[in-house]
Amino acid sequence: MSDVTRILSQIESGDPSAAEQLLPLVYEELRKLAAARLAQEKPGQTLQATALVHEAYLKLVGNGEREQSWDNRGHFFAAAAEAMRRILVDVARRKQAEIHGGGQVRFDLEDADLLSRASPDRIVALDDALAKLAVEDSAASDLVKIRLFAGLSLEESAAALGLSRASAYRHWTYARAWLCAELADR
Amino acid sequence: MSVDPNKIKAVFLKAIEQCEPGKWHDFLAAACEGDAILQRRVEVLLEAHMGEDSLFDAQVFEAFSTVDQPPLEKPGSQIGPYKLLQQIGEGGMGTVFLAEQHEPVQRKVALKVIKPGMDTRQVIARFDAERQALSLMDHPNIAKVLDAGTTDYGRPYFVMELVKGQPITKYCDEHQLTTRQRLELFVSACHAIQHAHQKGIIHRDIKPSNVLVAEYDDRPVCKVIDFGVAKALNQPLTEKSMFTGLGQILGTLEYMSPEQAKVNQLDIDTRSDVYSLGVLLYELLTGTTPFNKQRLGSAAWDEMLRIIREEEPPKPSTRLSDSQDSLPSISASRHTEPAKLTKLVRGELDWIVMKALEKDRGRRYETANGFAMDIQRYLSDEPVQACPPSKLYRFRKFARKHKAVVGTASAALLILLLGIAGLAVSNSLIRNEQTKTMALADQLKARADELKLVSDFQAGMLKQVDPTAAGMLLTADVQAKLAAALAKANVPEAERTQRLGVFTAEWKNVNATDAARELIDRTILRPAVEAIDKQFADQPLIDAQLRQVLADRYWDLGLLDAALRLQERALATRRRILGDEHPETLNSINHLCTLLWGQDKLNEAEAYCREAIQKCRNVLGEEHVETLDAINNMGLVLQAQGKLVDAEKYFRDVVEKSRHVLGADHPDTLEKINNLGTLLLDQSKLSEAEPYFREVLAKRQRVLGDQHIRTVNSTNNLGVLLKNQGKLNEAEPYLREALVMYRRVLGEEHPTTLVAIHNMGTLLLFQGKLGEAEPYFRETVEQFRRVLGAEHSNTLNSIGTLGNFLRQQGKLSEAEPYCREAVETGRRVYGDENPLTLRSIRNLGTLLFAQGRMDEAESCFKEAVEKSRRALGAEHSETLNNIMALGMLLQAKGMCEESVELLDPIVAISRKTFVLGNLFRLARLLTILGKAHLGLREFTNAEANLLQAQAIFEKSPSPEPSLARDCIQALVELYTAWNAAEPSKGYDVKAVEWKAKLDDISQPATESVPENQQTDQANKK
Repeated sequence: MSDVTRILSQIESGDPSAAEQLLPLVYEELRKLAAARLAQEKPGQTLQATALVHEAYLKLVGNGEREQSWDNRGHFFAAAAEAMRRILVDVARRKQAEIHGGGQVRFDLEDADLLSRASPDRIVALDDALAKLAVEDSAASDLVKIRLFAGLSLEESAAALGLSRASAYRHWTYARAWLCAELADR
Repeated sequence: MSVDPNKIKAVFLKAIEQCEPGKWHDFLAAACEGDAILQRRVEVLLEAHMGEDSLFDAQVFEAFSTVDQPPLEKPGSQIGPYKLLQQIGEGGMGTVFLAEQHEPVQRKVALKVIKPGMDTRQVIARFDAERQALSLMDHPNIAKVLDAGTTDYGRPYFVMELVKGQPITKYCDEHQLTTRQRLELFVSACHAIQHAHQKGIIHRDIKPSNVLVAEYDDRPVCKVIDFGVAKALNQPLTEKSMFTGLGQILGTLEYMSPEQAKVNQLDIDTRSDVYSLGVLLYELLTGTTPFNKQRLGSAAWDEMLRIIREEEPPKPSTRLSDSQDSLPSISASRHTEPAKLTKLVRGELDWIVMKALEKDRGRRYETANGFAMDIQRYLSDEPVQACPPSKLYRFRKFARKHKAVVGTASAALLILLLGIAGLAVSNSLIRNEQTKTMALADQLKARADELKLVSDFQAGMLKQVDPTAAGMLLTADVQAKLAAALAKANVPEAERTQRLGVFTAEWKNVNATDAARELIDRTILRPAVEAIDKQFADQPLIDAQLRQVLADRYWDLGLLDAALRLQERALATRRRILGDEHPETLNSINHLCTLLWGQDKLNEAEAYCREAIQKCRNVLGEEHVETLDAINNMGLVLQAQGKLVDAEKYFRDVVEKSRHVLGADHPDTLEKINNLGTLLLDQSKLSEAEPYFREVLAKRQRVLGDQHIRTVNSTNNLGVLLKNQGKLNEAEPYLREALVMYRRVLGEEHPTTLVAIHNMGTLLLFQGKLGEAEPYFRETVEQFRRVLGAEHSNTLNSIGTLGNFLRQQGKLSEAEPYCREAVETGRRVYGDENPLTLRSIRNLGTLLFAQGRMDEAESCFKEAVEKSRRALGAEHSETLNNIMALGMLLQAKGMCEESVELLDPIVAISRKTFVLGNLFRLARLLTILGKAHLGLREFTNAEANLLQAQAIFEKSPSPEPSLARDCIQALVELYTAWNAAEPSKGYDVKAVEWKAKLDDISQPATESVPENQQTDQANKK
């Protein structure tokens, strides 16, 4: 059983300290995967965030005989979304610095991940906006995080966060409008 | 003034859910009850909701937002002329409905609505392009695709003949069809595919859920569905498609042919379907696919594709006998007994399936019909085509059959002799052919190819000769024979047991692996060399090739001299026949470089490396694997010569190119990353090295498994790194594990095992377990001398370490010859500025200092400082150690001012360099500095330094307890002197306190120094 699988089942059995152990593990794995990807890819290419998250899932939790329950996977993806958010925002900030410094950055437009087509400025702005939304409505911002950064579909996100599909859809609709409005102000 | 966000959200959602956009204004006016701010906020949100100028690119956002809609087509909906009746299935790609058609004919059909995310227009356009061909298909085992179109919601749909069936695998299992019945059913699926192929349609997605079985008149009839769909959908194979539905794509991947498992899968023909049919048959026979979900799912994306493209699946019978747990249920669902099932499948059915699964499609059945016919031959007991009765085939078949016993020397010898015999036969054939007409040139070439195949095969066989396994078998054999002999001689049972026990105990003194290695050399390798001498006198190129193969095997076995001789001759031959710039000549040069490097013949190796790099670049280009090897070799040689900065350039270059050319997970790339890590380790760039080592270890564990020698190397290297970082307890399990594995896999005498023994000794030393460490050090010196010779760097290292170790124990005269030998050999063989030599010089100085021979010690230290500054840089930890040693000596000589001047500037960098387990070195530096300040009667400075040092020793004990005592001793002296200078300030009390502490530590303080020779080595390969 991998560390992560063990932690996930600890969380499931109600061990509150287990969740804290999860984030660093997931963060580390994602960071490594991301670094390896960036090392392989041509300069300027963006990270395929959701692909990384799923790869990390396969690596850390595996795809063993016993399918992880969605609740279980939900904890993973929540941690992964948070980890990915940090990584992406870090990368975006770094790229911002490069762009502002006049460096050339080319973005790969073939990738259809929600975020990878966004410019670093957008990602950083989004992150700020998300932080604001979290203060007002943490449920909505959690949902956005897990969708954008872990790349889950709305249904999967609902399952992961223990929401009904309908309320997930409402959170999403609201959060989307809220963020669009917030970002339009800038 | 702020508005409750919850209220905003509630009103916003209510507006969206209950009102049409046109009525929002009125709704808001009512709902907000005059709260203008609330109303304004909701209006902004609604505006944003409607707008496309979102944070997401509009197009992307739409694609995703449609995913969130529930399926729009439901029972009752009308799609064109079809009315949906009920949902009958849901797959990864779409939802299947039972539908009713009224016009132009009344019938029931299956209608598949594709899930969102496709470009509908393109899907339909691609389908239309095949429509004509599809309409020509007319076969009882094909469910026709009748129509395709776009739903009102813009999604593509396909209309198919309705089949009320089950996936073929499920049907067969549920009805417990026997293997024969399964084969018959499968043949009809082949006929269906063949029919489609004749109409120019490739299915592209054959899998159980597309090969349904329905019962007509109580007879199972197979129906292949979804023709034309895969092509129309034309799903590009990307990681993204994987993550849109992992389970589903895995399901498809399992049946995908190697040529489809390419990112750019343009080149697909009917033989891809033959492959997928092969997978289907495999599953029908064994209950599992060749690469099952578990195997594929545990791998990363690229790795999955690689597995499909490159990995040889086990034969069906092997899979069956491997699946012990599930075999009874697999057999039961085939109405057969387990043993019978395996036996049934073994042989011809294995061959039939494996022929369909050939990676090279040219070797598969040409057509689905050919595949079906071979199965029919099997069913009617005729010889099957899948086993072409060629000599090579039979030879390979024989060899494969005996592969299981290749662990024993005798079986390996058998194989080898067969190989040589095979070569001899082919060889004489060539000669005969040569005398005939030139029109036979093609045939001749075919023979030569065959010969090459045989020799490659033989090389592969030899590679599997594993001294450890052979040793274990040898042990078991000898014991069994003895037991049998005793029994035959009618020895009473009690005595028999006793004698066997004694023998077993005695036998333990023999290292069976070493014995087996000798045996392999005597019985296999040497005869092989002789055979080559005899057989290939007039075939110099084959001679060279085989010699090089044997050189590699000797190298693997750790028999370096023999390897070198063979390799030199192979190179000479290739140079003579092929010229200096032929790729094979360059390959031989690279091999020779590795061997010379392995024997520390560095100058020679360097010359060859330079030649190889230059010629490889010219002839083969910058990115050819041979060029990469040459660059890598150069890095290794420079590293061994101590030219670390130069070596780093080569390694970084080759790592970058390998990642690019071979891929990041390729074993050769990992080797190069490991080398870079090793170099960084040599340069004490520990935190830079760590991620490389961890990356390589993790990937090797995944790709090669825990037992593989490369994985063990990585385990060792990470252990060494952690130890050097001072994380001793973290390092220990890695180093122990590595040592155990090396002993097991490589044997007791293998140079690498010796390095691991040495590393373990050093760790114990660092942990302060001196008694445990000593036997490790003595063993390595003795063994290295014997195995590698007195001049090898490993020997030198181990000698220096032992000398140093003895010195620390106070055994000064015993230590001296070792210390001197290390310096002399180092100077002679490696030059004065080599890090190894410099360290030996410092160690000798330290010994001389301990003996009170101050002037001799001083000249050693001065030389070490001067040369390490130049060769390693001012901030290298070795340079710091050398400076510290000199500072200590100056202080001891009473030249305190000079000592402070020397040591003060390195305090800052030492704080950064000596951390964790190396903290005691910093404490030692501060102690010496404190003593020097004391000598200058700068009491305040001395106190600060010494207390700091003392605090560090408390927290992080030194492997040499004498160092901490020396510090306390200095504190006693400080306060005594201070009290004399400034009485009645209480310093006398402090002096007494520290004296008491000193007396607490029972052993007397001896003058000692902090150097422990660190000679850990990371394995290069």
